[in-house]
Amino acid sequence: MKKITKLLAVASAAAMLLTMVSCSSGEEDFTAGMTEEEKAAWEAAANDPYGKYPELVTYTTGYNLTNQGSDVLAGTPYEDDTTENNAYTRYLKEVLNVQNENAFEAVSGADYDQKVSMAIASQNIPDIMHVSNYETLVDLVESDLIEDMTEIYENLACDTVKEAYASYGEGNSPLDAATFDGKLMAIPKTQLSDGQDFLWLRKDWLDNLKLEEPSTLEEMEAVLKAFIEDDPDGNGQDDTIGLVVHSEVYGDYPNNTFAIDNVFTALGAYPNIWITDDDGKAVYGSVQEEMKAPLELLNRWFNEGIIDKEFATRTNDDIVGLISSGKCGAYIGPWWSPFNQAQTSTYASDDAEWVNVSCPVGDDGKINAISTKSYAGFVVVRKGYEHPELAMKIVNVNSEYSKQDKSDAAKEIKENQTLAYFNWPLYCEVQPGNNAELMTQHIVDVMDGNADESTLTTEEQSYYESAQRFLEAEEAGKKADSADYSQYMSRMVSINKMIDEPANFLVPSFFETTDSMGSRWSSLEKMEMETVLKIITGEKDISEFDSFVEQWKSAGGDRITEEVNEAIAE
Amino acid sequence: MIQKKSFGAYTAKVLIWMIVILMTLSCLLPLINMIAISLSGSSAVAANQVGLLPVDFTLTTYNKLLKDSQFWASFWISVQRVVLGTLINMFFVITMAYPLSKSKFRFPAREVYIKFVIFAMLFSGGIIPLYMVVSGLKLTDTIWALVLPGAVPVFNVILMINFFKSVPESLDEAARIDGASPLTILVKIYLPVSLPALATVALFSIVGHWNDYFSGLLYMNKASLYPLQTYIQQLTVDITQVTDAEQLKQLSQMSNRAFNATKIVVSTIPLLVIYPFLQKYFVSGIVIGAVKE
Repeated sequence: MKKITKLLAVASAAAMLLTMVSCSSGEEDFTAGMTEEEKAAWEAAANDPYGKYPELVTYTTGYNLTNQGSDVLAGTPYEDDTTENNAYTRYLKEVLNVQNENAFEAVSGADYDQKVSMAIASQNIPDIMHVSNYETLVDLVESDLIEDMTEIYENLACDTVKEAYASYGEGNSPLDAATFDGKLMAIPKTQLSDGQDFLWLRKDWLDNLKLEEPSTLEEMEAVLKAFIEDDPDGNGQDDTIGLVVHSEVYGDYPNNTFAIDNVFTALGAYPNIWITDDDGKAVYGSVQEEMKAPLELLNRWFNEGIIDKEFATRTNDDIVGLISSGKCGAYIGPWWSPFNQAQTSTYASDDAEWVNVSCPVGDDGKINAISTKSYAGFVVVRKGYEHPELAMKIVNVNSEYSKQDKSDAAKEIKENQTLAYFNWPLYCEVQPGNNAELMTQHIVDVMDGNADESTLTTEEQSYYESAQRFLEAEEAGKKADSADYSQYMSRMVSINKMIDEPANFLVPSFFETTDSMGSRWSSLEKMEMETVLKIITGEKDISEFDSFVEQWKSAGGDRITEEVNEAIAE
Repeated sequence: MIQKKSFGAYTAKVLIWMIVILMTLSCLLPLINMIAISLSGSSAVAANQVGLLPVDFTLTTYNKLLKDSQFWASFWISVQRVVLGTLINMFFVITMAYPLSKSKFRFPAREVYIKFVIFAMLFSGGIIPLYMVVSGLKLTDTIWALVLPGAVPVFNVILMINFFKSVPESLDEAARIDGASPLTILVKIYLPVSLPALATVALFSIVGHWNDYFSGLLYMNKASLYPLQTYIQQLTVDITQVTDAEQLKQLSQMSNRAFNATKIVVSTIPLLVIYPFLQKYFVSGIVIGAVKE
């Protein structure tokens, strides 16, 4: 549903753009009437990655908020902060002498995207803004509303930013997505590489039952069986269930915590993404022959109760409830799973111990994972804005300068990152894809005494301190703060495993949407998920998978596949 | 009234009662559950242990809510909106419905207006044109953006037209013979006998204005200007993708369900308070006996 409204918003915005009169009135010359000296000062500021402007420069923008609610600021020194005067904006003002003025502000995600559509529709886009999807960028480029950033990027991008983009490798650079006819039209925000999903197990249950950590599908099945039948919590009651499964069985890898894509990929199926077949053509993973094996397996697991019998009707909250109340000790989730209440609540109330295991693995003993796309949004500059370089400079500050700065002002930012109500006014940090791993490695070096604490960036330092607090509390036999638990478990335990036990990553051949998807994709996806649920729960036989594939193709799947291949060829 | 009770009538009555009770429960239970969640400890809430009674009773979330300044700011905006919006709605509903309830002999252009009204009820320009009109008139970020775009609730107008039509024509005639002007007839005769319908329509407006979150989202460019339901809605937006470390923190705090339940409970209180006061106007048959035929 959300997808549909989003598509509608994008489509209608696109329609409006067609009727729009060009609003650029050419370069506005703000240097008129200045002395040569003043002009030179402005020029110098504009050509320096961190150059401070001679006078305060005000820019309009759209502000991304988090959905924390401003009450998280209550009782802190930042209580009276606003979106135009907070730690981030004060910092930017100090470093670059710039001040934001918000054309709109909204919570990141659907709310913010809608504001962007409205701004575009009403022919009034801010000087600089973040747009979160590719379709919007294409619209803006096609209607010639945004500045060419090629030269600015060449001249002003700091090393951190340039290296970060390069880290994604040749074929998958975020810059490619923002390049149109050889011109860079936006500064892409990078997507943190999410790594692979793990099987998260209750270590204390494994120990109770004297079981080894599983690795293959068969071993996984044995452990799950033991979790159901052998009373792992030792309370003498038959009250535990096996693996919890999200009602959307797969998709959005690896963000969809509790989804079980890994079971599919272990058997060579790649549902819900576009993959390249043997002939080099893009095909949709969910309608391939390989899907049958995992579906049959899951159907058997369902019948034997190895996966939660009621998974199809459970909400996310239900699943969290099952885990929190100690009825379930196994789920599949990403490296940041310890942030989920399912884990923090069991840590605080029980003596639950969680461990992430590389399981189920494919034939070569590694988890088969799916890569996420390399970009997570774009920063665009309104055509005709007199300080287009400002966008790049702010991104530099976000991504590099502020992280190495150890002043009090930077400390304020660190504190605000923990409170997490405000974001940077320009919602864009450029990081290398494997940033999470890199940071963990730096922290491990410091912990092992191989490096000095001063080598850490401010962000790394806060994780380091978190880890220290967690370890101290544990050593003293006390429960650590749950935020520290989450940081330690995710950053030190789980990411370390990601480094030690690397996975095979498949890069999907296509990430975006095509024209026909707007009208047909949601019903196709619905049909797909219904069939998958029916086969798993045994309502339909596996033999009906073939007729689903036929139906999928004739209902628009074939046409979309063609479009996807055309789009890739372009 | 004396009625012979047959077995059939008896079972029908039982059935009707059962259906009514089921419907009542289906409305009431979620509310009670929400109240129970708001009064429970957060770990019990996370474990889904809260049913109809609070587990680990605590008032911490209510304490916390008292300190949430944006909640109360938004609350105040919503109150203003309801008062202003309902007054405006009622004015337009009454002044529009009264003439349109007259026959086409007394009001020849009636059909044109009715068609116009019905057309506007069935078709709308869509979100974007609406937004462009509102922002073009410089109403965004003001309370007027919340009350003016829906100033004439067409559905309520039609309800009111039908109610006015059911008022005996003789009342109108009698008043006209006594020399009353149309305005006097409306205010002194029609409105007093229409209290049940007016209460219903007013309630629709109040509930509609109070519960609407979308126009706040659409027309308010500053989060500090959100009305209450928009403020609550934005707290429940899902985070679909984790792109940076800041979002992780949100993930862990996201299922602060007890606190969100508290906000929802407190936000329903004004409506719960208003219902009993309007209840007394829901008395039918006021015009019975006003005319002797």
